[in-house]
Amino acid sequence: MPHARSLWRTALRLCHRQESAEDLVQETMLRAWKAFDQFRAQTNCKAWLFTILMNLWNEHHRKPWVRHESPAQEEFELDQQAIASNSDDRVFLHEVLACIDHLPEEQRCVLLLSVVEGLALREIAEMLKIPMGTVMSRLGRARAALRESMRPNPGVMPSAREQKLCDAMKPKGC
Amino acid sequence: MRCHEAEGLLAPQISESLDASTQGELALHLDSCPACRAKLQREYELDRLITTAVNAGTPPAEDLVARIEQKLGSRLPFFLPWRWPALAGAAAMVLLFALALPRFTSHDPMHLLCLDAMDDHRSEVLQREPRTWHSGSDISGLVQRTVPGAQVPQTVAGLSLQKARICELLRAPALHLVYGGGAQQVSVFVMLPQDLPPGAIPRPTLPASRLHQENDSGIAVASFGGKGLAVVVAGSPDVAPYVASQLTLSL
Repeated sequence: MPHARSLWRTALRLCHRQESAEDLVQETMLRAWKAFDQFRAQTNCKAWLFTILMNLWNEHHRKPWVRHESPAQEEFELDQQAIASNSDDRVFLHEVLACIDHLPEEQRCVLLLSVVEGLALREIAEMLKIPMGTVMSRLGRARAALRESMRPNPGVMPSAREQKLCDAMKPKGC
Repeated sequence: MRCHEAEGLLAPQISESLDASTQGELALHLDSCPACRAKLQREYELDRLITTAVNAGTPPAEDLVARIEQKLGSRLPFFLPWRWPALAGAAAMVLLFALALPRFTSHDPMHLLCLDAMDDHRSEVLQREPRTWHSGSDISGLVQRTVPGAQVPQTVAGLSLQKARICELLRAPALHLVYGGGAQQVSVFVMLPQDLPPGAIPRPTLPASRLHQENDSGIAVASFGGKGLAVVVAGSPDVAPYVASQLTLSL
């Protein structure tokens, strides 16, 4: 099943719940299987699958009875299972992930599709049915928000963890 | 270009999507401005950090496919009590259709082509009747002579290309490729559009695969990169359409 891990990775960050993410990937694969005759050979299969995923996600969101999950609901348990490194690194990556999860959804989508999945901005614009300039501005705002949220509070002595974040963002120190 | 103009273009994704002239201007500016170069470096660092965090926060996906298949199998609400009569009726219809199918399909050129392909797979691959096969680097030469311009993938759906030869399907030339791995052996017969039997469907440009099932073998047909038709024969009905779809994706 091609690109299953990529779909799973993005669905998790959109849904914030493992079960909902599984449902979303499952529906994506099912719809892709049914509509495989619509896939044009020589085009980007990954972008096609992500278009289906984003359409499903948008359909799901438009339903009035859908309960929107907050990022904090399942993330801790999920990260503890997934991040198997030393505790400093785990906390550090956990904080970066929390920053990503707290981005507005429209910015988070563009950030994940572009930075993590490596899709071209043109493909993302077609996928989300928005102008290219909007994709670029959402991406810019997401990156700025991430940089801002990773910056430690001024006037407070940074902890070792904050210093690590700071070092990652500003190699020359802050 | 000045620093404040360059600043908005420094994200790697944005820089890559710029037109050639703006990219050139940005490159010139970066060559002469250490501060902007440092900012671009930080943007790359940010990307690396985001990717690492998202990957680390994603549980393994090895059993995801199995879980999805399991859910897909159980999601259809056929087993509600009131659906049993409808289910029984549908089963009877399917049985009648299956019994009647050979009458309608026995003269279908595509059906005959699939039967011939299955027969060749059985005799030449499974029963190993003596034939001259090409292997290794000889295969690409054979492919170029048979389907000019085509690139045959070395692996499809985890199976490796083992050997190839020219055979005949319904008296027309076909390229017979054998992919294998473990106990599984899959035949892919490639035919050019002009060699297809008259009236054969689907057309070679159709990207979807269509399943023909004979005994325990699975047969699927798919486009061969828009250059011909690929008939995939496997020992199991489930494997053939999967290999056909993977082949379409890899071409």
